Amino acid sequence: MNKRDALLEIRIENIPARFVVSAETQLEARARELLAEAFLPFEGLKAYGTYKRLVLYITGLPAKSEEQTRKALGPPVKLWKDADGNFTPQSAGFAASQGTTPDKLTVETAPKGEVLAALKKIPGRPAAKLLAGIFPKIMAGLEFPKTMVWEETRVRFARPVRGLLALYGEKIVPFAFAGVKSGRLTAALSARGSRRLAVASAEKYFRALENANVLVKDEDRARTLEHELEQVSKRMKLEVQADPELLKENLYLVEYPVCVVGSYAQEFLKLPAELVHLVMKKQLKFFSVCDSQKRLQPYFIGIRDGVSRGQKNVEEGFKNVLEARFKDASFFYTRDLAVGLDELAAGLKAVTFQEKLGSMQDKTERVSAIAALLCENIKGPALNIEEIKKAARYVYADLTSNVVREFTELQGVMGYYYAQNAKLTETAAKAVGEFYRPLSAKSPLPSSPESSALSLAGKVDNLVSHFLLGLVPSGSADPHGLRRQAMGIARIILENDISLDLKAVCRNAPATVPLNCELLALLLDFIWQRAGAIFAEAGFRFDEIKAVKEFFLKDGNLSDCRRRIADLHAVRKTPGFDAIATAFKRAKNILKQAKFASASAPAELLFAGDEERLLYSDIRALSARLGGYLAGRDYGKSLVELVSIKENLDNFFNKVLVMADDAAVRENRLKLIQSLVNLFEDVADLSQLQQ
Amino acid sequence: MNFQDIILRFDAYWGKQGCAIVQPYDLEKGAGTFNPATFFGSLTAQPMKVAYVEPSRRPADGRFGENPNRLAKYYQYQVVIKPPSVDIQRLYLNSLRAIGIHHEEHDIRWIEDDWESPTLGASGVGWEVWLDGMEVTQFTYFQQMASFELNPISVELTYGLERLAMFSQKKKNIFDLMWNDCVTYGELHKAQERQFSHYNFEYADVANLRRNFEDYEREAAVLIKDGHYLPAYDLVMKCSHVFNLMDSRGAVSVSERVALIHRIRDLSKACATAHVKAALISRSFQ
Repeated sequence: MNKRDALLEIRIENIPARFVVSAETQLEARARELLAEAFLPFEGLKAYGTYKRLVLYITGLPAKSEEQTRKALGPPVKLWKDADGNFTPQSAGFAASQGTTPDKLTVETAPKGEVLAALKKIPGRPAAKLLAGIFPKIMAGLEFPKTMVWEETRVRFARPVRGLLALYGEKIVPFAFAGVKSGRLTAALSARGSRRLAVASAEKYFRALENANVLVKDEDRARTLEHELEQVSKRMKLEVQADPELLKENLYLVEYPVCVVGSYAQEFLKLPAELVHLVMKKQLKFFSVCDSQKRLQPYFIGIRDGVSRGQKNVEEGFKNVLEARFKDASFFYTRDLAVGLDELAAGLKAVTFQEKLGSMQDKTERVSAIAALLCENIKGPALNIEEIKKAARYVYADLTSNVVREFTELQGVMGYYYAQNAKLTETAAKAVGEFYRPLSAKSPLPSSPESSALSLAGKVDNLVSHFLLGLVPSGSADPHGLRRQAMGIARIILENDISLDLKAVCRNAPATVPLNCELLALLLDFIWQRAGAIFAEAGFRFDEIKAVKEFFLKDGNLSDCRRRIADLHAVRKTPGFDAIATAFKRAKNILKQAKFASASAPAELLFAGDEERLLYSDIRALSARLGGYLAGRDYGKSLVELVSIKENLDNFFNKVLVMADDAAVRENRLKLIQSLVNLFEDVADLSQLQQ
Repeated sequence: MNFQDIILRFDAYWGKQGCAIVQPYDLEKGAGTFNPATFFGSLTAQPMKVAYVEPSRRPADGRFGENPNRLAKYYQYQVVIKPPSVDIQRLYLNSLRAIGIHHEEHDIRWIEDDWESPTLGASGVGWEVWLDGMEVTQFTYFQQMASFELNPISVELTYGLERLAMFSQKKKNIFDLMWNDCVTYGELHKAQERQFSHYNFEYADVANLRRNFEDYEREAAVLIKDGHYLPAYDLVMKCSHVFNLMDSRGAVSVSERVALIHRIRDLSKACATAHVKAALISRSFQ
């Protein structure tokens, strides 16, 4: 059968860029679902979107849906014919109800026995007709962040629907939505007056629009835009900063991207580069330009829709608006510099952090105290505590600045410039500037030990104070971004290999009331979950992470835990490891079942055979050596050593009955096992490992 | 194009589209939406097409006539059409052509911007229209007015006349705009901007304003009760302007702001309710 493509194009008044991608996903999912329900097979489907249209394109649809056979079950077989061989009223009635005759009934096995059955063929229906039912259903099911009404049917949609193009091959798929009837007309680029175009067939759609300067496919626009930007870079011998977010947003602002290159006054380069970038990106969606050393250059790249008529007008307009925005930003920035860092910080008294958690000034004081705790606690190269203390006073100062009020994204970043202006050292200014880092799972960390300590302090305060109020994230809800804070803590500690007792720091952190044991355990567990995600991503196995968790809850030292996990992961592959882990598990189970706990060593006099003696001598020798390894945090060597006692351990379990009848012997053997378990438990809880 | 010619061309263009060209309403107001033609007009079922210039006062935006981009009083050109024409976007682009701006030679962008007016209990969905990066029009499909779900919907186009004139005349300072061939915008308005900024920021008597607010509010309530919602609505507009003045004097605290806005909204809601009722009754007599 001849297969054709089908097409739905919904033309709308400018849909916000942020709505489009989700609408595409929904179009595809809904279409798959409804086509399957209609028994309409297809080769492929894909949705596209611009700011003017949402498009669903289906390839390889047959002219008709698949023929279906429906089976209806009737009375038992014995009622088919009576003793004389005539059809019974029951079978005749059933056949009639199924639109057939009793001689055509078949036999099926049903739970209650053999029954009569009627097979009914449902013929395939024309694809165009089915699509006429499916397309409006797809449209009605689309969800948007915000919807509106505009005409009398009062259908809700993202923006007014102004045209529907619906084709199966050459045929129009007839339906109506929001008072608009489908047809074969589409519209060319709006910058060229939205000229109406008739599309001869679904297959000719993309080409027809390309000829009318519309790139319907998102990927075509992306390619064109990237290519254009590369060309501009080449021509300018500079680097256009192709910010991925900005690229994506611009894709949904134009149907055919054309670059507008312009320049702005040199004086604005005196502004912080981040501020310049943000004004261009956020307010005007312009790309910025740097030289090969990443130094900002006074040029902008704006993207316009489709044509290059009046390019000079547009360039001049863009330039005027950009410079006006820069002037505003510059006005704010100059005022902030004149106000000065100390006065900005003084304003924090009047800024509430959270109703029950006091002002931002209170928060500043808590962060300073936590930073001091951290400095005492962090083992490793000496930190410049004086610089940390100085910086701590100003970490939130920029929140009261004009620039940050206007551009909240620049919190921290502006703090750096104001700190520099206040003649803080570069170390302290950077610690202020990098206080909020990392902003996401992959973004840059604080760059110095001092910055790291201060950033950790801020995050610890956020966690401790919210946990104290019972604001513990649950499910997917995390209104205070605490998961991100915990992730930040884990990343800073792990990626810098900072040796630190987080438990002690959280316990001693200043707060209205100290954290009780329960909350502290909950908090450590919360941090561990984030760390666990990092470990898992590094390729460590779930059970390996679990085997080490207790050490974190006990010592709060994440980087030590990572070393344990890594060593466990490496040694696990050595021969004999699995057996030793099994033996450990077995030993632990025996102790558990016997409800045995003792700290005293076994008595050698009570050993009945060599198996016990040899194992004990292994344990003692190992114990002496392990002490040294563990002190040096060499868990790998410890584990290798543990594996080395495999032979004597196997012999012991194979030949010795621990639960002997003689109570003294039994207890002594349990003590032997206990000393074995103790040895292992200083390294990792191997009983968590799955074979 | 001279400032006054832009207005004349818009009047001619929208008049040809069937709009009644009405005159500004003679009271202070923060935006053209306050004009009774729009406020009451959007509430009922009758089709409507109306256009007008509306002087708008925003006391806190004044800059003593010294900032090239800021005014305490400026001119909006407002078009309201109910129900919205299906080709309203094209009609809008053609209106720019009517004042000499050919959209094919510029970059026109429709930036998502949903509008709301807390004092009118109004909200809508729409865009800011950017002309080569400059915001020149607010384009809104009203969804609610005075907390009523609207049916049918009205579309409102609000042009910033000064912005369009600056664009058209390539001027960087509002006060340099040519009003006609002989007079500048500055000559007509600068003294007003300067003096009113002093009044708005320094002189307006806060105690007096507060008293006015209370008086207007009380009087409006009585009028509404007796079915005279049109004069009552005048008093609502006065309340709103008095509130804006208190605000520019820095006399409104955060919590008081919320309370005052609520009081104005309650009054405008009462006016709207009376109007909707009256419209229903008059229809049932027809």
